[in-house]
Amino acid sequence: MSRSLMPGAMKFLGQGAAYLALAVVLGYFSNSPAYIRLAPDTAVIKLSISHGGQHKGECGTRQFANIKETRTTRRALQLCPRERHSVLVEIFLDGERVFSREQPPSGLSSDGPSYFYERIAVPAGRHRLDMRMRDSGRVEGFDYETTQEVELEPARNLAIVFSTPSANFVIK
Amino acid sequence: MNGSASPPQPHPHPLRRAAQNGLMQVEGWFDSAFGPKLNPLTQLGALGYFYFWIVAATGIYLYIVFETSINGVYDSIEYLTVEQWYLGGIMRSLHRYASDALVITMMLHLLREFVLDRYRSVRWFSWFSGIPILWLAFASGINGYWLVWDQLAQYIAVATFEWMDWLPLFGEPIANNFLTRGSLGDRFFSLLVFLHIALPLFLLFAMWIHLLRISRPRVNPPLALAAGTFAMLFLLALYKPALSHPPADLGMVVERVSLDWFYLGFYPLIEIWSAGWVWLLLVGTSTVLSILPWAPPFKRSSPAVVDAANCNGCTRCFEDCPYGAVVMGPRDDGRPFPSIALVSADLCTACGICVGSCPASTPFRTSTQLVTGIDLPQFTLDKLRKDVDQALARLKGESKVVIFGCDHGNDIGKLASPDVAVFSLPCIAMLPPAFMDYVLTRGHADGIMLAGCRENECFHRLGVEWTELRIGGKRDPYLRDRVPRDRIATAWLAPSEPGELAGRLKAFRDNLMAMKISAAKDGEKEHSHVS
Ligand code: HEM
Ligand code: SF4
Ligand code: SF4
Repeated sequence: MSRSLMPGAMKFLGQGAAYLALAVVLGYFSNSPAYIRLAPDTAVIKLSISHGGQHKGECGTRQFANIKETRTTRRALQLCPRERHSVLVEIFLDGERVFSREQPPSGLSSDGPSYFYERIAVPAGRHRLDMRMRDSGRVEGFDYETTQEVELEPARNLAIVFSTPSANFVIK
Repeated sequence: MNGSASPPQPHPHPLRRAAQNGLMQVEGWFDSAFGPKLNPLTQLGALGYFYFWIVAATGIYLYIVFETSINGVYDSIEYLTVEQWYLGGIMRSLHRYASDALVITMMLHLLREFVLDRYRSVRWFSWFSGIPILWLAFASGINGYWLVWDQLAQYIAVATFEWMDWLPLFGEPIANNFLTRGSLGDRFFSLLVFLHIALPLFLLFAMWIHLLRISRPRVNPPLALAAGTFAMLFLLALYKPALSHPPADLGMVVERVSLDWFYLGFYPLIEIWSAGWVWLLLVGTSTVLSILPWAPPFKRSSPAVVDAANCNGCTRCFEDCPYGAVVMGPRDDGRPFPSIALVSADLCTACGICVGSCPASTPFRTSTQLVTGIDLPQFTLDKLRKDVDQALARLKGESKVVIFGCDHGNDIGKLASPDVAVFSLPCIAMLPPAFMDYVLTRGHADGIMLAGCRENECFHRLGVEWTELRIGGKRDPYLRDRVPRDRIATAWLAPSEPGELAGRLKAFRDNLMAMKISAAKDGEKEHSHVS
């Protein structure tokens, strides 16, 4: 149809159709289709740990030739290497390993904490959780071990953190 | 007969040409329904501004009435939505739908400017400044969804931080702040509210920067289009009010979210691919978009040049240039005029519109060399006059027609014949009205056809409009009254409509013939009367 020849009623309908189409697109895609993130009867364990591994090497005692000539701020007797060991975390669900990672220390001089952040989807229900950590650079065995029974209802978001003061895993 | 034309322009890539034809087809449908003046596809930028203002106005209302604390916000928005549906609820829905419409409009606008090739070389600025607009618009919208503090907000908050944590910026993962119930404080929430004011303000600032190099940008849609658009949003707000998800609970995982796909469409990718890939996708796309204006093929024409001796500082070229490439500056040649036109080479697209504006651009001058006030070095007015003179001398037939076309409109070369001469110009508005006068009143041709881009689709934005106004005697330089308007036909058509153009030409020539016959009859009558 030539552009100037569309009669008034058709024009009106055409405009209505264009507005309607835009309204439908806006109305629909502004909240559909839904995005389903988690299978039914599933819970999530969120591992969120920031923990500094133990320092590599022993602290040494310093000898001063003439302590009076040393600036007061430089008179520390202990000299500790700043570098830390990396941290290994392992999580077992009902005896099965669901997470295991060795995370190096952060920071340019490897003196910062090791960070873990992980989402682990698990079936809902009762589970035994074994949480283990090694932060001393040892080759075998763990420095911290905790076992806990948990009841996870569907869609529960369970956080595992490591509490440095109590030197153990904590479930929230 | 094919009169020579401006230096040949590289043709668009076949893919781009195909996309242009498709776009013109769709825009043709919209033209049929809305008419060229109200066609929403030709004013996407203006519609973008319109949606922004709706979002801003409704946002101010929502900001005044909603409670900006992490524990109070959800209930206060529920109150607006349910109890105060007739005001707060409608405001909320308008706020959401206008924001979504802004995304659609912005994306179509980007696509259209790309397809029409309006972003290259000296026109890079608007394109390049559009990239931050994209980021700011998305950031504003995503930020807005946080403020409801429902399950959708929770999902976005956690996903955003997990996404951010991929960047080596923060030591401790910031997503750690969202671990457990009650771990989010009012301080943080106030920051979000502050951002939701700051980001849209930055967006507005970027939208202003975006237009700095465009003279006379269209920032307001015509009233009828604005009214129709607003009515559509309003009805949609009544029919399908914007609702919240259940309140956020950090102790539970959000299993299922009804996403706003316009703003949050890429969020699932953060989980499905990974944070790194999504960064790569977004940063990569932005980078590619940013360098597009400088991608081959390079077509850079030399900028317009002013001839001081022929410029009297009348400011017409300054008024007409669509790119703000002409400025008026002080003169130092001692002539008694206040100013002189100066061209900024890095803004000039060599469209030639200024040549058409200049009062010195008159072919009636007898000098052998036609020098005007402002001219294109690659395609001078002098060359155009010589070519036209030559072609006119060779034209023969009963209805001799000269077609002036434009390099971005229809390919008029095919219409050349012994009684039709064709000249393609960089833009139809390069043709000074005095040239139309020259061609017709010297009796060389029976009619002139001006073939340019479709109305509101002019590649150089203002060419068709200026030409219409000049012929209509509404804008300097006017076409003189003595020029018979029925001997000038205009055909504002897309390059995809060669058939329509040929049809218009035939109708025009039939009309010219009819005029000739009736004039001859009148002459005979007069003759017999006298005898
Ligand atoms: C909120 C979003 C935006 C708004 C409100 C907006 C608005 C506008 C307006 C009003 C114009 C002038 C149109 C005219 O009068 O001819 C324009 C031109 C343009 N815009 Fe946008 N724009 C937006 C986003 C973008 C984006 C994301 C891009 C691309 C990356 C872009 C690229 C362009 C280009 C290339 C031009 C044409 C410049 C020319 O003709 O030389 N815009 N825009
Ligand atoms: S050629 Fe076009 S862009 Fe250049 S100064 Fe003249 S009107 Fe402006
Ligand atoms: S239109 Fe011509 S005379 Fe007027 S300012 Fe421009 S160059 Fe000078």
